[in-house]
Amino acid sequence: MKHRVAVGMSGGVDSSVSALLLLKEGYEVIGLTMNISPTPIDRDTACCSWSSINDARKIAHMLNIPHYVINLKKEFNETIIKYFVESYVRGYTPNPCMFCNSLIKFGLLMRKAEEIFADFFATGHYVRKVWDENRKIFFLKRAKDLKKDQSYFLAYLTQEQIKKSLFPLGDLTKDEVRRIAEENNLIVSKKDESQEICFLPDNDYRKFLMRYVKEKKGKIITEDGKILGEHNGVFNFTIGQRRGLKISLGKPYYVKRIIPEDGLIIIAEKEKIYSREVYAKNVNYPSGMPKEKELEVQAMIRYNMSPQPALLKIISEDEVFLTFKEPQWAVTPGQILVCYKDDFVLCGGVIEMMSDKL
Amino acid sequence: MRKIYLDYAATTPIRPEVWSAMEPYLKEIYGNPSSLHSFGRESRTAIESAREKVAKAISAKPEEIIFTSGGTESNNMVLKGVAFALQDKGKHIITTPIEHHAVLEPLHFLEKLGFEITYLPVDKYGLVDPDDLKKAIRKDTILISIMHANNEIGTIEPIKELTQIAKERDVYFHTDAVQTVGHIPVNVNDLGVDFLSISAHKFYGPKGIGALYIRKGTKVYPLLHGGEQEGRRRAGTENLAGIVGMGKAIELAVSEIDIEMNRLIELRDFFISEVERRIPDAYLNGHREKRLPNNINFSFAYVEGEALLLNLDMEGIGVSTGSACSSSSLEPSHVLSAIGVPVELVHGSLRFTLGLWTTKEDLEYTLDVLEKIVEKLREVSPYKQGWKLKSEA
Repeated sequence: MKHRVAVGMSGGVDSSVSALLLLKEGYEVIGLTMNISPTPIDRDTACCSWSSINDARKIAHMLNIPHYVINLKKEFNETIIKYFVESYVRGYTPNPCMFCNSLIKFGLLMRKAEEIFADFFATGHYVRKVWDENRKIFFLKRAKDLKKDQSYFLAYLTQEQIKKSLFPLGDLTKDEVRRIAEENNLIVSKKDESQEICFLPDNDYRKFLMRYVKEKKGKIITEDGKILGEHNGVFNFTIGQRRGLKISLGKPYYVKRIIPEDGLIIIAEKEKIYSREVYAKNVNYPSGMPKEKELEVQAMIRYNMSPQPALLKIISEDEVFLTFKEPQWAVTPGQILVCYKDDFVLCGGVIEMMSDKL
Repeated sequence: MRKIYLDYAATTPIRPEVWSAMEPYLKEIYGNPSSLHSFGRESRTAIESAREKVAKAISAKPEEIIFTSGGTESNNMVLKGVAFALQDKGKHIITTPIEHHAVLEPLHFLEKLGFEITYLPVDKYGLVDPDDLKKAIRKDTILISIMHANNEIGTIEPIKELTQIAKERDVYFHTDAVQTVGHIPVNVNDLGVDFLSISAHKFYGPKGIGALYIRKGTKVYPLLHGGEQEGRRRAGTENLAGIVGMGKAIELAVSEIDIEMNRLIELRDFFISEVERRIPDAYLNGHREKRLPNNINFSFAYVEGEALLLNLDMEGIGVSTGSACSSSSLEPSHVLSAIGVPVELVHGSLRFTLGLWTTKEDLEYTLDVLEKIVEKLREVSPYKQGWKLKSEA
């Protein structure tokens, strides 16, 4: 009997081509699209907007596969939106896509796939799944197209989740994928890459937060305690931010630290926003912990950067301490540290602290 | 793949006879029924003939029938039209928590405008107790809206008893009869209602057409203002082919109602007893006897109704969780919640609704597939071990 694969379809080019490739390989393919939009926004780039769901419907119809829209609004709201809002209130900068992947997409949607007895759950992520014969374990490997590599966003997956996943695009470049889509008439609407957070109208997180939190005035101070101004809530700031400080000191100042308990935003000059040392918690090892407690890795502290050489120290089961070779700009609590060994995902952790030591 | 449709309460296919009746009105007969010329007259005749058929089917007078775009519009017109017409008399409306969204949502809207809504309690079958209605009526009550039969669980309400109470207190009574007209005998005089909503696509007519029965002399404002169609009660050029199709469909349905009812009741009870015999921990929702002939609603413990639905769909069997209108939401069914079904069982509910083309063989096949799927799903169910999906997240 044919293997059954459920494909998480967003209506975009990547997941559509994923579905097509699986069909060509002979799988029985079923499309699943989650409806998570907490607000009736309808930006074309948003992966959860109404028009995107309709695009997914059209693609599924063209591919002649069954397609189901799964309503996960409530669950998304209770986990991801809650985490998103609470992070900012705590002075952290959240990464909702990371946890949407591990809890919603590869969590609840994958669970739906299991309930329709799919053998695998596939997505349009640019990442490779590799079997390590020696350790009898699957690894996530950076995509062939390094510019498009999305392994970063999957660092919180578990071995179980990886085992059940398929990533048909891992060995393709974006251009190749686009060509396949065009050759097969799989592009239903011209849209930009979805780089933004899907549930934010106009990609304005501050406006979004105002629905959930009240303004709370606080002070903007320098490292030596000089009060330079006021602000309307620590949630308006992220490390390295320059915009919205509304102070003029002759040269640019940036947010260096956020102290939510005291409502303080500490600012400093550009060169003081760099750090080399990072402490991260809630660390996840998709393919198990390495034997070594100290190892050379390449690390990312945000998606928009290339991995940088660093020394990783495993302090405990869920804590790591990382020292970059070169100081990094705006290491931000709440953002996700992802470490690679060669091109394989080693671990992901939530950044808690960084040190000034250069 | 074998295809079996068991979602007749969501909508029905158009009967071939209905299509034949409609076809000329989508082609060669196109006059505007309001026009004075022969083209218009021909259309007008067809509309009035359909109106007579609809009226006859529910023992009303033709002038008491207006055509609408369907059940939702009919409900909206009564609720808003009575509320606006009688607001000087009072702003209190009585209903039940198990009405269709096409009743509940207009009422929520009216609530925002300052109207007060009382939701009568229902028992574990969804039945309203006439004594509760008696107690709920106030001096400022202007309308009571209680459905004839529930779309999810098929429970038939004691409308006759309820309207007697309404009459004693001189309050208008509306019933949403979308699930009953064409399926069980409906007589507006016998029921004693002032308003009654009908939808054609529930009895093998086309979609987008319905009717509202308005008892002669009853005060209600129109929802749509414009031309003088439908006695100035519903503006807009008539949906000619739809109206003709509705007339034909209701005529056919009513002429065969006894035979079809008995056939469906037999099939329904066969399916219910087989599910209970073959599938453990399956609980029937709704009343066993005071029930629509074509409605079956079960809760299967330890499984998600949605998972069952998707798996049945992949086997070519079309069913529904709750009502079709809420099937894309995992919010627990408001009907099952109102009748006190525990949350776990609400999520495991599935509705099978039978119709003209349902055979015993279809049901036997469905039972075989259903039994297998429930068993398979229970093997992988996180609920069985006492987990909840939520805590996984």
